[in-house]
Amino acid sequence: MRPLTRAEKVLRIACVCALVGLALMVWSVLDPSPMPVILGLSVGQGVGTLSFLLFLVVVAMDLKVKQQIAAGDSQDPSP
Amino acid sequence: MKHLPVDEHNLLTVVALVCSAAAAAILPFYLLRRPALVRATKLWLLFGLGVLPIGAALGANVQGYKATQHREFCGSCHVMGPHAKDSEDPNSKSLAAIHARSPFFGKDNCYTCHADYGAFGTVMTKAGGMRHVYLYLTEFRKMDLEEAKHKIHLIKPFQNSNCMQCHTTNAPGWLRIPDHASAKSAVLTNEVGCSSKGCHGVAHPLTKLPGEDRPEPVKVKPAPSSALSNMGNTK
Repeated sequence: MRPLTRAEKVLRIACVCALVGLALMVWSVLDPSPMPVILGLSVGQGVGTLSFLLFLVVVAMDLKVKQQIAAGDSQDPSP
Repeated sequence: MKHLPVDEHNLLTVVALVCSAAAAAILPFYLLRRPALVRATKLWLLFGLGVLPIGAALGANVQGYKATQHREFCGSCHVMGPHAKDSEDPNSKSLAAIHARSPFFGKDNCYTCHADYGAFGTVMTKAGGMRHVYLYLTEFRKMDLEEAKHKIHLIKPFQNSNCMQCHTTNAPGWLRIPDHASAKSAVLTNEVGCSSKGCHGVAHPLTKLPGEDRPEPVKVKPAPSSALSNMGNTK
């Protein structure tokens, strides 16, 4: 199995966070009693938002790498 | 806390469940198969981590918000059970039950009467609800029902302004009643409670011990002639 890059590790954490958040939100929909609703609307939303932010961090990292590569290409004197 | 029925006819519930199921199909696939992070994988992850969870959150938020307004939600803590049961009793003559029989209040009668109708009313009501949950978990969860019925009370006197969301004090029919006309200023300043003994009675009589009630209404002056002269023939 190939080693994971930093971006892949962050994305795996994001996936786990999203699954936990979704589970809490689905629980609140299926059992709309006080505890599930409170957990779904607070912890569920928080963890879900964190997962999307982690995804955006990876996108930003990716764009930065592409910019660095593009900058390196433009400075390359070889034909 | 008992389990409550799902609002099956809510489209947003379906949206939340479908979005969650779709995201739950994408994310484990990425975790288990570990595909290379190419453009297609990123696009799938945009849906699995962004678009679909946002759709699920939208549905769950609205559904959760609606659920908190239902009487079943309020009555799911055992200490509120008798209040909910009284509201559902078609023979009950309590103020709460009478209001619950109105279609406008219906199964949301707790919320309709106890909501804050101020500028940030919804937020304040929800914040108050969180305080209820905290108090339930820390104080009342293991309390005997008979004890809780008499110990639990509102943090501040019930505001007549909540009654006035439906019952205007300016209608000729309201002013035609001498006690209303003479007590209008006291009602507006909450000096006299609409739901006090001697007026319309307490909303939840089962919580009161014999002889226990809000203070007697203040002695009211006779109805001013100006109020009576404004009365029309409408009911």
